[in-house]
Amino acid sequence: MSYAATHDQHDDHHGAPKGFFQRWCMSTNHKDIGTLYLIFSLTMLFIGGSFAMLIRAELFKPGMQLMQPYFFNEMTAMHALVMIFGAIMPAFVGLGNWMIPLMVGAPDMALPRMNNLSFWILPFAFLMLLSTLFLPGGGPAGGWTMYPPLSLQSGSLAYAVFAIHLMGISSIMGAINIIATILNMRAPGMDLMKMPVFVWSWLITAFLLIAVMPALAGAVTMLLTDKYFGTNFFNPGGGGDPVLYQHIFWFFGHPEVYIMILPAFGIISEIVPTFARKPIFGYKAMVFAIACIAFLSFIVWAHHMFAVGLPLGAEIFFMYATMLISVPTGVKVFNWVATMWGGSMTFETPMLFAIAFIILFTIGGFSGLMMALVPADFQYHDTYFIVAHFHYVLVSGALFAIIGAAYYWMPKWTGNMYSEFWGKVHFWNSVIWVNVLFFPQHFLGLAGMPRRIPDYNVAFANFNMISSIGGFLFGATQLIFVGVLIHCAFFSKKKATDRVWEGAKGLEWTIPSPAPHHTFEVPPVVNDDELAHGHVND
Amino acid sequence: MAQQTIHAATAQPDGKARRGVRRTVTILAVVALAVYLSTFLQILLVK
Repeated sequence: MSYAATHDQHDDHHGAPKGFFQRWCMSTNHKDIGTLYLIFSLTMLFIGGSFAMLIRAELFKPGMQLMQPYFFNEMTAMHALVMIFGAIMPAFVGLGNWMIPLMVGAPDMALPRMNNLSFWILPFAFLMLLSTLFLPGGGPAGGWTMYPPLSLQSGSLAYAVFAIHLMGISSIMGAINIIATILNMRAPGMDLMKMPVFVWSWLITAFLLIAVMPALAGAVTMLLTDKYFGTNFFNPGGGGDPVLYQHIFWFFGHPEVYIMILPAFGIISEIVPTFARKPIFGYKAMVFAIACIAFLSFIVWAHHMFAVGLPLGAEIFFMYATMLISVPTGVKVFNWVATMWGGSMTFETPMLFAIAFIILFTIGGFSGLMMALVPADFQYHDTYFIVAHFHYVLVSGALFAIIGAAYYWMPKWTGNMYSEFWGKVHFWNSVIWVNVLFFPQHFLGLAGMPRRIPDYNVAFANFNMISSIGGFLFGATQLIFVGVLIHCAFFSKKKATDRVWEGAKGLEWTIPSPAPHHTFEVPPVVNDDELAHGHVND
Repeated sequence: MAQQTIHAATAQPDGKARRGVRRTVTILAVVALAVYLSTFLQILLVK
């Protein structure tokens, strides 16, 4: 059966397949696969979150409390791997799966069966990764970066490497699918420069994924051969170099950071215009800023390695290149503010999360700028200041954008409105406790507390206790989110309109709520007045 | 199993759009493979 067929050739497209297995395991429908991705990422969020709770419980007060140091190290490594590859990235892929075909007027993804495979690889990859915690050798405990020679000591390295390979294959297939969809399946009239910013952000992110995921696969393959096949890629004793691993890893790792934030930029660029009831300010600048950030992400990797002893010229180059990123990022932040300026703003839950994103992501961006400075970074390196920085970017940045997107598009997905009251309870608790959790970690880092240690000096006790309390309450708050989701999907009596939000524009709001199983089987007419960003060429 | 219609931005006929998808996938897969293999060549940089 061909992957594509004309409209007249099929007769089974008016409803979802009957039967659980057919509907969810064999699905080639972008909406169903998007739902699977989102449920998977929520599950992984709670698994990774439970690891974080264990970490914060151990750090609640000085001294060894609950666990052995090796288990603590396993928790820090697994927390990061699960959150990055299991929660944040699949959530964006899920949102992309659901929304990109709807936004560009395509009937589905370009390669629906590959889409199914991309998803179903993931649960097995994570089962394998998580199973290492129960193996005699223990799970990965050398951090998510898996630097040799430390990571080579792990008895279950082969499992972790294979799991990472599977995740990488899934990501690359997903990225190819998204690019093929956007480049080949847009509705007539949906020119590239008329696409919603979210679609642009995903197009650029997909190119980043294809460019860097294979580098990670190569790096961990070399780890594997060093451990089991007698090679010496990273072994100085055999002529190798452990710093080489760091270069390859961060050539992947820094673009990976942008893979986790560019789709968030796209989401915020959808939410803010809707609730400000104005077209996005500077659409073209927003698109070019994303492309510029993506390009710069390839030439800044060594700012993660200032402390290894790079040549001075290299340190200066990577310092300035890193500082340059603040320019396109600043363009985006100012354009979001300019979009809100003079708008008829209302503050529904998605908008609250979007505004919190803009403020808190900017705080994380500023602390990132601080550590771009080589002399200062020698002080910050491997301290809790770094932990505070990337959690501001990834939790109050990426995660808040994902949660905002869920509230924003949930009525379109389910056909029901969520509880605005409980959404706001969820928001205010999240925004308060995330700051209680991570802001004190700046002070701990500046005072010299190293990251990835289960015990610490009593001088750090108070801020750690505050941080842990914030962590427990932030974690508990996310249960409210689950309650809101379940209520909206199954119990809400308030039906969503097709447009859902008064200021919403774009093709995705022209279809019924809930979105039918199949959409845009006949190409839609793209009306320039109905684009979220208005007339771009005016 | 759900099938789909392809309609491209320029309202191309189905066959042309299908070829576009194939070409896109082939190029991207080759790029991914090239990046993977070139990663191993980094070892040549080690003195």
